[in-house]
Amino acid sequence: MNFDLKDKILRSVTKPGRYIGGEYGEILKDKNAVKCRFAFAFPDTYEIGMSNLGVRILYGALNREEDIWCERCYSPWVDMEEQLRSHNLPMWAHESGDPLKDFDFLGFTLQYEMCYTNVVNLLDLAQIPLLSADRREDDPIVIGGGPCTYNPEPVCDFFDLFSIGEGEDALVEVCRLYINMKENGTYTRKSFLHEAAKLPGFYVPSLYTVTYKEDGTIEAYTPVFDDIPKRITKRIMKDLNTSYYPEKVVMPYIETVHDRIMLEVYRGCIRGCRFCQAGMTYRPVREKTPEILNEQAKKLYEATGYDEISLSSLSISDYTCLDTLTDELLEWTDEAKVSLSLPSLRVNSFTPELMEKISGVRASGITFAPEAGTQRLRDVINKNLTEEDLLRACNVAFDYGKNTVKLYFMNGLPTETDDDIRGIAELARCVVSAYYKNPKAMKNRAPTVTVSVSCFIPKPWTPFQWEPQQTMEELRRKQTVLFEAVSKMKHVTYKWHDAKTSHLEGVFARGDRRLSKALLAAHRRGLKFDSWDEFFDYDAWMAVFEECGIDPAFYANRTYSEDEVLAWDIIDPGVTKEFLKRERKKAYAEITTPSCREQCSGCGANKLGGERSCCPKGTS
Amino acid sequence: MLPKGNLLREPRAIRIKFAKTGKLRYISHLDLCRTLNSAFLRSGIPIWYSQGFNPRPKMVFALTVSVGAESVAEYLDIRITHEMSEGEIAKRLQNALTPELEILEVYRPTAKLQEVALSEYHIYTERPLNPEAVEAALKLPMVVMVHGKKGDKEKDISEQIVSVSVDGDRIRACLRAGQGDFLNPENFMKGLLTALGESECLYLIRRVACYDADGQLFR
Repeated sequence: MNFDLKDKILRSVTKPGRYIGGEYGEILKDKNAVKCRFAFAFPDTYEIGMSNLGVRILYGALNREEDIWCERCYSPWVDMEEQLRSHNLPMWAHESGDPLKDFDFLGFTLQYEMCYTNVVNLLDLAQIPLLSADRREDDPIVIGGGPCTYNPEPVCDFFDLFSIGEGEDALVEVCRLYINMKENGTYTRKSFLHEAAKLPGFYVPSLYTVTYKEDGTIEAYTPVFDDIPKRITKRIMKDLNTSYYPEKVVMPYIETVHDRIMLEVYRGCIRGCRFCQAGMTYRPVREKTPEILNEQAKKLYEATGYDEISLSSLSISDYTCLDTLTDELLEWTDEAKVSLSLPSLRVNSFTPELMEKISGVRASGITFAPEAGTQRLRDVINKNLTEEDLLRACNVAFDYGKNTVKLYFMNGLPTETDDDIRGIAELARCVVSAYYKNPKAMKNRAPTVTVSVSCFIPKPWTPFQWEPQQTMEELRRKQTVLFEAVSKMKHVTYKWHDAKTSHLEGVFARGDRRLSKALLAAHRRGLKFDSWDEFFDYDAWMAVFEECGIDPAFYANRTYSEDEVLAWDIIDPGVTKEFLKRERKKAYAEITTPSCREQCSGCGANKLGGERSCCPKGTS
Repeated sequence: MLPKGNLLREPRAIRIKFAKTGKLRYISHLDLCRTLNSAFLRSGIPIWYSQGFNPRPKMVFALTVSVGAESVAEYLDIRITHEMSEGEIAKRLQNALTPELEILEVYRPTAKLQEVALSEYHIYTERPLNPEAVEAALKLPMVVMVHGKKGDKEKDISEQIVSVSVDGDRIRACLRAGQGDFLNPENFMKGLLTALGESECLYLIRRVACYDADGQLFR
């Protein structure tokens, strides 16, 4: 019997189920009958990529088109990479098993900055020229999308174009443009990219030149053609009730990170926490109706057989019809033994009624995100949450027999002092003592309060986008201050993030296109899977920057001037710079901003339109 | 939500014979369980749940195959709480699965799963093996490292090899597959190929049938 190479390789790697495709729900088409083949790559492992809701949506949206075939691809694990390289085998797509380099499009979703080296590595494994400038006529068009493309500049040398904002309609449009140009004979790589740059929401970085000032800051972005936009406005789906939502899911054989139904309830966020990029860039708020959601949930259950539904959104408690929705869902989920999970709950919505509804969930604990230890600092970051709210919410959980509470914080926030850091410990202590004061709490079980602290990273399109990231030394010193404060406390566990990873993330978050050079150098050194502790090599990264003549502190630790041209100004996500400046001023004055539902803050995102939002209509 | 037949007075035992081939050979038994679990739920088959704090659809398997091996003789027992014909169960379950997990037969069992005593395998090798050399190797004790609950230990497996024949690049092997007397075909191949000095030879194992202690085809 002949054993083919792929079979020999699959026998030798861990978790071969990551690479085989063939899952229930995957979409197969006749490759000779379609006009456009799109490979959708998630630059991390299969287990993480298969859990991504955006991929699920876009995979379905593209495949809904009869003449477009979208397939999937993920970063191979290191053992698989070794096999591919030693046999000179190009990385393939899951569905057809065909090499990625034979596709019309190779799309990457950029979910976090630390995946950038994986993008470069995957291009390399696919045997596609790494740089856009080096690609030939018959190479795939490499397209990027996802949250990181609100500042696509650090990776722009590797991409032919970016889809900015929500991609359900946009990706289909760009495929249509491609098909049309191929059919009427006007297609060349160059002419296609020029035409694509005229489509709303598409950014072709090679069609914009950047000049720099002597101090290293950006002087200007100049389009090389007159007929392409000066700034690229993000795309949104105006009405989520009518926009495409997948009613089927590709069911992984192997266990993935989020192996459940994800029901997207709404997009955007009414809160406006000043550190939060998603809260700004996903605006305006657009809700789905409970009727539509209930229908979608039922169909998804029937199509998947998952026994858990996760209601997903940036802050589920802010959904105006949460009660109706959970009531309608519970009418059938209980009998079908399907549990509901509500991540991203805000403390003020954590009520006994809600607790009843989700009590079927087996988790023994609850998670809240006060983000800062003192009221002063919570006002600075506009996290409208009080200690009283938090303790009340914890008491509700204790009443229902929960004894573990996880609290998320950040350190290194603007204006933060050591008192704010010690405030984190104080808050944890209050939660522990609330447990012992609660008459219904199970006294035979001790409480566990986990304090999890990450490092603040200034992100583009937030009011803190001009703020410096604190140095690693300072972040570490603060971690020690907190460690000393909590180490003597009973029932409190302290977890912190490595400041080194955060520093690199800080560099790329606000990076410009000069960083593409560093990514290429990092790839040549074999750097990849930077978000994995076992692969992250900080010293190697510092050597890369040194070699490329790049000062990481220029990007991460500098206070940007409000007048300077920012690398991400080429993108228009809806919210205006003026709004962000106003919010920054209010932060320093320790003044909070009410939620969008209480009062319009004039962020500017309502110019994009949007149904069932709380925005006043028209331009601000 | 699910259309249901009449409630049965007692949950009814149902046996499902299925095949696991092609890409599915790379899927572990645990992942197969998860796959079947969700397949039952999306199929609308009124499967009986285990009772207790954390109810789950109850599935009992006769044997398992290792990752990398195929089988066209897998047996799974479930129970149903509501009336549904065996044909309907087969149709619904197949619709909830990919063709590489093929439902071969659905019926009400008479024999117990524990009655499986022997398994027959077709093992395809990369190169044809010499039948005389195989015969000679089988006359000697065959000692392999066996992975057990108490760690790895050396074991003579020759007693558990019932019959073997070689036909070109195909080996037909009948091995013990009873409870407490199960010979993993991987161990058999390890032992055989080592004895033949062919330990690098690739092979594909396919279980083709199960028998009871009397040598009757298991059903």
